[in-house]
Amino acid sequence: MTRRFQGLNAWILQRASAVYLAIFFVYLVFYFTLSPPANFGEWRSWVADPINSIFIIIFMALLIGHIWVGLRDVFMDYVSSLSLRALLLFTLAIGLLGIGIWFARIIILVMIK
Amino acid sequence: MNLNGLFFPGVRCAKSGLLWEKHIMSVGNRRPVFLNLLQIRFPVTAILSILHRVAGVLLVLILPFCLYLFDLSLSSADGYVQAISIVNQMPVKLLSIVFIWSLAHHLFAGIRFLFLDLDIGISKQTAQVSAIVSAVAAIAVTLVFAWSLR
Repeated sequence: MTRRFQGLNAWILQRASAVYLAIFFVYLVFYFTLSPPANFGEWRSWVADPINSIFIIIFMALLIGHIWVGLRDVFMDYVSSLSLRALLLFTLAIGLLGIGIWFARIIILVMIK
Repeated sequence: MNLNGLFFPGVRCAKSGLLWEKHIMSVGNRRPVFLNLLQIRFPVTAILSILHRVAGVLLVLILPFCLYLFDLSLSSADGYVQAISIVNQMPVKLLSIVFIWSLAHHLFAGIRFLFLDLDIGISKQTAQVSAIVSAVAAIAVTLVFAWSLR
């Protein structure tokens, strides 16, 4: 990717992740309406099922990317002060990193138990 | 009081060649200023677009709480029961209605934007109809969800 198309990666990531997130939400709606978990055991084994785990991990990774691009666009459009925008982006990056690590901890604990 | 000189220092009027504040003093400020929000009419497509952003920001703000519930519900059988009792509390139910509207609106408006990116439905009339349809669909989903919470 040359410097001429710097915004294109973010643009593509936003659309591609949107498609995955949308499909995953339809899957979740079907799961929770057609066969909702009756108890802790069912819920945990559904999440621990390798197929679901993998799709959930991909979901979370793409969600974090989608949030980064989306909020970055919002900050670029509405926050004209460079220092404030840098502060907001830094806070967002730290926050998303924290969300990612927290989620990784949850899913690893479910998978190894 | 005329503050134009403060906002546009050194700017000259293209027609009279006077400094802007002098020009304003000579002819009066005839530029329209619509500070009355009721007089500003946004097209329905613009309203849908800004709500897509608002909904997106709301979803990000609610995400840590969702992750907390996800963590709690998977931690132990007690945590699972605890998570369900948290979700059944009234303030959380109200928050979940906001969450579902944000999710539905962001999803439907987002799908519409994806079609627009593919040059599908970009005529003015179609774009207006699809904007209304996606906004109304999100409200319908929210109402059905709120009804199911009773």
